[in-house]
Amino acid sequence: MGARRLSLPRGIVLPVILLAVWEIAAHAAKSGGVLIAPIEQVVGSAVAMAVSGTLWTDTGFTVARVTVGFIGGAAGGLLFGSLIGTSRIADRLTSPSFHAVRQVPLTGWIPLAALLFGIGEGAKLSLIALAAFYPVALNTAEGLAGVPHGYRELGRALNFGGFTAWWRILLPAAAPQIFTGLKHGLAFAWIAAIAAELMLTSGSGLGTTIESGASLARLDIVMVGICLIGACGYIMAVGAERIEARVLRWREEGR
Amino acid sequence: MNVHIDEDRLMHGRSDVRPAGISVQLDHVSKSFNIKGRTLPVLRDISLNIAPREFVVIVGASGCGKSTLLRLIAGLDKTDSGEVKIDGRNIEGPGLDRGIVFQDHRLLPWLTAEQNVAAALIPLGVSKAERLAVARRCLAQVGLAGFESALPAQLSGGMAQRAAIGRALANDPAVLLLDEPLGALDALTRLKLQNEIADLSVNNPKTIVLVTHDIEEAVFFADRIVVMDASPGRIRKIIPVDLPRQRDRTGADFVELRRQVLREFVDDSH
Repeated sequence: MGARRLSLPRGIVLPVILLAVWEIAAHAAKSGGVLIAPIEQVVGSAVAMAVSGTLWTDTGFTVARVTVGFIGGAAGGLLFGSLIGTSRIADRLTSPSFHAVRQVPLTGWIPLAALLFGIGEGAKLSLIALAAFYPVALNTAEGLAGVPHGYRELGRALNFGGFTAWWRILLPAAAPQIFTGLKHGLAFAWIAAIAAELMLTSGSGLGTTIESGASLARLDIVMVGICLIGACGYIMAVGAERIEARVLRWREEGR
Repeated sequence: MNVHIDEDRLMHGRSDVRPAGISVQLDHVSKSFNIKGRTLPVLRDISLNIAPREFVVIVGASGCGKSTLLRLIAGLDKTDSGEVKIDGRNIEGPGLDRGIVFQDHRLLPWLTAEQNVAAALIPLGVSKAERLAVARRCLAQVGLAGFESALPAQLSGGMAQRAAIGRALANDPAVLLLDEPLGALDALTRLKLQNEIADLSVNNPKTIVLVTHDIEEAVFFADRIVVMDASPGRIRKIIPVDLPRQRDRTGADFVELRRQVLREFVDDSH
């Protein structure tokens, strides 16, 4: 169902219209003194950035950061979510703190991360990991808590130990909701990466591209950065949907 | 179903070199549940000795605690007082010596039929290849050869329940516990599976405890029928069934015995 939502043909209509509006507006604005880079100029800058290689390194850095940060944050979320989703004591001990800390928006952590880790990779990766951590932890905990009682009982009847029951029964049973968490986590990790790069400008990255383009009043470079961020995010979302559909294929059979 | 052949099979089944089977003993067992602060007695002072390889069927109206009784033997619930003994030893929770089949097949929907059966062998610590080999053998035993890689959602209700029985048999437990295993099936499928379970119980004799509200099913399977009263659950009567295995449902003895058991319930409503 998700794959259909992301399918192309009819979905291409709106972007084409928007591009047309943009192009017309850019040319109209020239006479009005407003700075809008027309599409051909943006494409030209993109080609120039691709030839010089900065386009690839910037994209590569951001994607690599998101990958590393997401894996770390998602793994942590999976473990923490499993803990509070299976142990009532752990849930009672940590849930209030978890939900309180969760209320701090990600951008609120950026100054603290900068003070703790500087403006290098440590700060960026920890912010991305944190962004992925919350939705994965939350959905894992809820998914595990919602596993039908009969499945838990089956685990006991089959003499499964705690770990075997978690790995073989609870985790697969909660997998649909865990995947929801992973998809949200990936989206948040992507947002966090751009925000961190915008505010902690050091090294390469798409956020840095936008930031430096803006400081040079180069709207074309800013637009290239925005388009790349959108495109990469889209590819990641589609990839996640594909993986989900593959892993959860068993759900389709009953329909 | 011919009685002479059945006796032969019975002989062969029993003459195999197998462990002697395991007894199940309930000793003054009581159990109650707490529901919203109120204590609801479910079982009161149940004592029952089940011999090794005996097929005992527990019948009773819904709410008589017969499923709870089975869950106590399975080790899924704990007694309030009294003891449950397997082979003379007090049980401490579920064990590999007991296999259980629930009314809902309870197959894991993300595993294929053979993976579901193989899952029962995980606690034994054998290799995956060996688990799957045993699983395929068990599926063949319950008539599911060719459906090894089917997902539960692709199986009919009867087939899913066969797979569940295969899973319960996978590690060859000495005691098989069946909690209304055929209750959710249509009448024809039920007849067919009853015959197959009867075959299994002859070919691979185990101590079997089956819970049902189907009186014909009880007469069809049981060495002894345990009739239970409700609220709180008590044993009203134990009826021995001295019919040969592979019973003829239309035979005079069978029909008479069914009438006798039925009377236990019909008289109740006067």
